[in-house]
Formats: sequence, structure tokens, C-alpha cells
Amino acid sequence: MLGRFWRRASPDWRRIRLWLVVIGPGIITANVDNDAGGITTYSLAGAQFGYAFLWTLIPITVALILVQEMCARMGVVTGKGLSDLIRERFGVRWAFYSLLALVIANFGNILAEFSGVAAALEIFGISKFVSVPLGAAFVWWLAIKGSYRSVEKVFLVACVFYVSYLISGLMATPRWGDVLQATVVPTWSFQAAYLSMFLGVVGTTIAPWMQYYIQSSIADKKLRAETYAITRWDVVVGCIITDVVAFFIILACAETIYRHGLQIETAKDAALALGPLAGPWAAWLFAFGLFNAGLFAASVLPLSTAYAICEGLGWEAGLNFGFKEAPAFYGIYTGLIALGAGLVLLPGAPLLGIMFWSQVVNGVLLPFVLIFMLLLINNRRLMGRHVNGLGLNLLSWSVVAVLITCTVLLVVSFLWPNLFGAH
Amino acid sequence: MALFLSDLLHARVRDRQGAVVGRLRDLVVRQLADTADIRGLVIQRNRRLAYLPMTAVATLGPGHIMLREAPTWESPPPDEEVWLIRDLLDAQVIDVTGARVVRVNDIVLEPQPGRLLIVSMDVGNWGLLRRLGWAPAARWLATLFGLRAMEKFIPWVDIAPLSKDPTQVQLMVALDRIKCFPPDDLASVVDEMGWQQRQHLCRTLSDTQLANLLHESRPELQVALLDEMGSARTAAVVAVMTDDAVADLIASLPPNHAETVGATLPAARAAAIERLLSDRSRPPGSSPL
Repeated sequence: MLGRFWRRASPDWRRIRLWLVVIGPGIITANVDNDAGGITTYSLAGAQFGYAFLWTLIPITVALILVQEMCARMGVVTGKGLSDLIRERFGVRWAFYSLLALVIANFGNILAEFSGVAAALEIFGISKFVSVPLGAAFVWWLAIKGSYRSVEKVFLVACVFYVSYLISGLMATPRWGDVLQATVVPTWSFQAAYLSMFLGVVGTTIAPWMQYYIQSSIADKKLRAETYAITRWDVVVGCIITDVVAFFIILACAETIYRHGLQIETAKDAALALGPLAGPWAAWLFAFGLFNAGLFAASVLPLSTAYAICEGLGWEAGLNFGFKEAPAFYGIYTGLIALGAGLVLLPGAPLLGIMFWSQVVNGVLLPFVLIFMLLLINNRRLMGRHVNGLGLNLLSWSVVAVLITCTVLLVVSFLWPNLFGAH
Repeated sequence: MALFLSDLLHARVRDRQGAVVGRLRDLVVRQLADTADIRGLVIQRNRRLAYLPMTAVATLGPGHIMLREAPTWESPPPDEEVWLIRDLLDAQVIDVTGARVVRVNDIVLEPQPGRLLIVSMDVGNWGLLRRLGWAPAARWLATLFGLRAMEKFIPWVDIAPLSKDPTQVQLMVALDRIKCFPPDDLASVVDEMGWQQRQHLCRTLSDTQLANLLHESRPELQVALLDEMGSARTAAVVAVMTDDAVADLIASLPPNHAETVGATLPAARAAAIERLLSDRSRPPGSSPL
């Protein structure tokens, strides 16, 4: 008699189970994209411009899918991370300086995540001197104690909590006719404020760390070409979910804050403003979403940074090593968390300055990462028959050209704020 | 006198009269581990490449190469052989002494009259600093603080390719030595390999070695190994495992792969392992029904 451990399941059931094993990296990477910084940007877009930015989410989703799919494909075909491939194909200098930029950019993000955790829990009356150290300890412990599989499960649960934005968006009772029109009919303005918000939305949605993270996690999960069809779905579905969440954040703020002509500057302001307008539950869900996003991204970013650096420079990396065997790996990981959380608590720390410059570095790094990616994915020695086809290349080079233009403009507008005229 | 490959990167190549004919693109060896002799060099001018045998080189030192004869730009470089910069520099190798995967930061060469020999791979952090151009500053700091430079080299004779396919140079430290690693070290090294390297290595392992490797691997690696082994090899490997080890394996695998492993078991053994697994899932002390 065959036992329950190897009774042959029906082909359908086997297929469903295969899906469950393979999915993860795409959905997780895309959701982490809606981190504390992302939520702030979308909140401001909705609060200052109403529905005007809804349509941008459609082209942004397409661009996000294109970029993420290429990294996922490289991860599956080569079994290596992006920093591995940059080192092997472009040499140590490109690898080193791009990694240095990645650390600076990611450090700014980590700082923003812990600030998000602090701000979100302050709405519930919890002091940041409690929430941030506990959050940092939880994040650190999660990776040190968990295996990839258990950590991935925790992350997938964190993805589910983004539904809080859908609910708070719905509670704001949007006018669906207008929403639909604003989503499918593009609008444009050459106002300085509109342009810089547009660049901000693009910049927060497509960030360099995502390319490193998705490829490493696919390589780490040892996904193979045979199941690539599923991985591609993982990427596509993840990107769509992410932008649906962004859509509802914009909706919630547009319907309340923008309609009543209020001014906000942070995601915390947005949550507080929602209370009187859409009910306390909407505000709490919004704040909870921010807390979840901050903590989630604070778990992913330090780990992925440590992996990328150690892989690229040939140092021991991985949670299956001890502190003594992989000192650089644990040093970078622990350092990023401790420094990120510590600075948020330090009175008078130049948080805004650090985040500002890390965004500039982020913007400088992205064009390089995108070009590296396109060169790598078209390298036949590396990718064999999995290189981009002509059509895909035309599309992806154009998307990358647009992204690079936006990023360069963003960096320029950071450095010279009056470029598009006075605000 | 030793010479680093990094000293020759993009070096100007001149003819006897001192005129620049191009820049060094790469150094070519016939086969890894075959010989320590560099066969020739690939020179680049604008977008054109030319191949020259080592015998065409008159003198060679940091940043400069002088030729005996002018390159003929018609001779195509041998794409199927191993190019040191393209295939070896910055690639992953296994450090046998530490049982870990490291990167080739630099390559140590030794010029001798009429030939150029490969001595070793520099896998230490000093090699990294040298490539980045920070070595002088780092050396100054090290002397200032009285630190000793930590150099790490892997001798050329220890390098062996894993694959016979020369376009996919899968650089390895001598295979027979990898196979002598304790299974847990082997598992952590295999975990860091790309799948092509992993597949080549597993083909050369015995069933018992593979069984031990499987036992020491984390679940993601187990799944990857099983996928690559195919059902015949899986059956052979499972056959040499103890019942306890098979039960461990099945318990840690996702259901589809547990089924695949289960399907290779003869009925009697399947029943025994089934009992083991259900005993384990029962809390200790409770009696079997």
C-alpha cells in the first residue's frame, strides 16, 4: 500500500503545489517596493494632485515588469546574483563602485524604513524609543534565526497586510467614474511641482536594490529554467499587486486630503488626516500599513545589501555560516540595522540630509544597473538562447532610456530645486 | 620576478620601433591545469582583435609589452580556449583549505626568457585592493599601524576545470580534493555554485558521496540536486541511504519532490520508511494504534 508521503497526487494538484514552491521572490520584491518611502510618495501624489497620477501607474507597472522579469530570467539561467555577474563580466572596479553606491542608497532607505516604523507607531501612542529598538531587534533576529524558506513565509504574510491600503482606500468612498477616467486618460502638466512629483513616483517605484534582490533570491532559491513560466507569473502578479496598492494609496489621499484642500508632508500626516475625513479605522489601517511596510523593507534591505556586497567581492555570505566564518557578511548586516535604527533615535541626527543624498546616489546608480542588466541579458555566452529577442530589446532599451532620462532629471532637480521654475 | 595580471591589464603593446600597435585584451592558455604556459595574447586596436603566440613577444613588464613582429590583424583569436581575463579573473574558485568559494582577484605570472608562466591565483583582499588601485594607500596604513599584509594565493597546479566544454570554463580547485571534503563542507561549497558547475560536480560524485551531500544540504539545494539527478540516479542514490536518512530527506522536501523520492523505493522499503515517518509525527509516549 502506498503511504501518504508518496501517494501520487493528481497532475493538477502537483502543478498547484509546484506553483506554491516556486512563487515568492517576485511578489516579495515588488511588495517591498511599497516601502515607507514609497507610501509617502504616493500619499503626497494623491494629496497634492488628486487623481492626476493614477494613469502613470499603468506605464510604470509595464516598466517594472520588464525590468524585474529580466533579472528573474538572469537568476534562473545563470543561478547567480546580479553583483556576481557584474563582477564577472565588467570587472572588479565596476562591481566595487556600484556596490559602494548601493550601500549608500540602501542605507538611506533603511533609515527611511525605521523612521516609517517610528512614525506609524506614534499614531498608536507608542514611543519611537520603544518601537524602533524592538523593530530592529526583530528584524535582526528574523534573519539570523530563520532559514530562507521560513523567512520567505513571514515575508509573504507581510505582503498580505498591504490589503489594509485597499480597505482604507475603499473607506474613502471614491467616485469610481472619475477614477476610471483618470486611470485610462493620461493628463500632463509642465508645472514644476507636477514634474518633480512625476519623477518622484517613477524613482520610488523602480529602484536599484530591487534588481539585486530579486536575482539573488531566485538564485538562492535555486529556481530553474523548467519552472520559469511560474517565476514569470510570480514577477508579473507581484508588480501588478504592488501598483494596485499604490493606486489605492493615491485614491485614499486624493478622496480625502486633496478634496478638502489640506496640506500634508509625510505619510504620518496622511494617516492622521484620514481620521476625521474617512473614519478612525481608515487612519489606523493606513498607519498599520506604514508600520508593516517599514518593518518588512527593513528586514529585506540590510540582508540583500550584505548578500550583494559579499557575493561581488568574494567574501563568505549566507546565514548558514557563523559569525567567525563570515565576519564581513554579519558585520555589514548588523551595522546597517544598528546604524539605521540608531540614527533615527539620535536627537538632532541629520536624517533628512542623509536620505536626500542617498536618493541622489540611488538615482545615479540606477542608469548603470539598468545598462549592466541589458548588456548581461544580451550576452549569449551567459544567457544562451535566453537572451532578449529583437522586439523585447527594442521595448526594454526604450523603457530603460525613458527611466534613465527620468532619473537624471530627478537627480538634477534634487541638486538644483529651482530648475523647473520656482515651486 | 613575479608579475601580476593586473599590471598588464590594458597594457600598451608596441612594436620594435616603439610605436603603439594596440592594447592587450587578454592572455590565452590552452586548457586549465594542462600547462602553466601562456600560449599567446589577444591584442585589440579600435574594435579589431588579433592573436599572437608568446614567441612574438620580445619583452614584457608592468604596463608594457614589446613585440618582435607586427601583429597580422587577419589571425582570429582562438575563442574556444581559455582567456585569462575573460574567463578566469573575477571568477569563482573553491579554496580547498577553507572549503569555501572565493573570487580570483588577481593572477600571479612569472616571465621567463621566451615564455610567461602562471604561478597562482590571488584570492586575498590585498589582490582586491591592488585591482582597485588602493594598494599603496592600504600598504601605507598597514605599516603605520604595524599590521601584516594578509595575502592568500591558490597555486595554479590546484586549478582544474570542471567542464570539458571550453566555452563554459567552470573553474574549480582540483576535483579529487573537493570530493574529499566532509559532506557538510561539500554542501556549503555546492550551495554557492551556479547550476552548471553543480551539475558537473554531481556527475563525478559516487552514489554514496551524493547521498551524503544530499543529507547535509538545505531543502532548496536538495530540490535542485534531485531535479538535476533524474529518476534513475535518484533511485541509485536513495538505495545507498539508510532508512533514517531517506525519512529525513522526505520530511524536509516539498510534497512533489517527496513523492518523486518515494516513487523510487521498492514496496517493502517504502512501508518501513512510512512507519518511521508516522512514528516521528506522533508525539513521544503515545502508543501506535
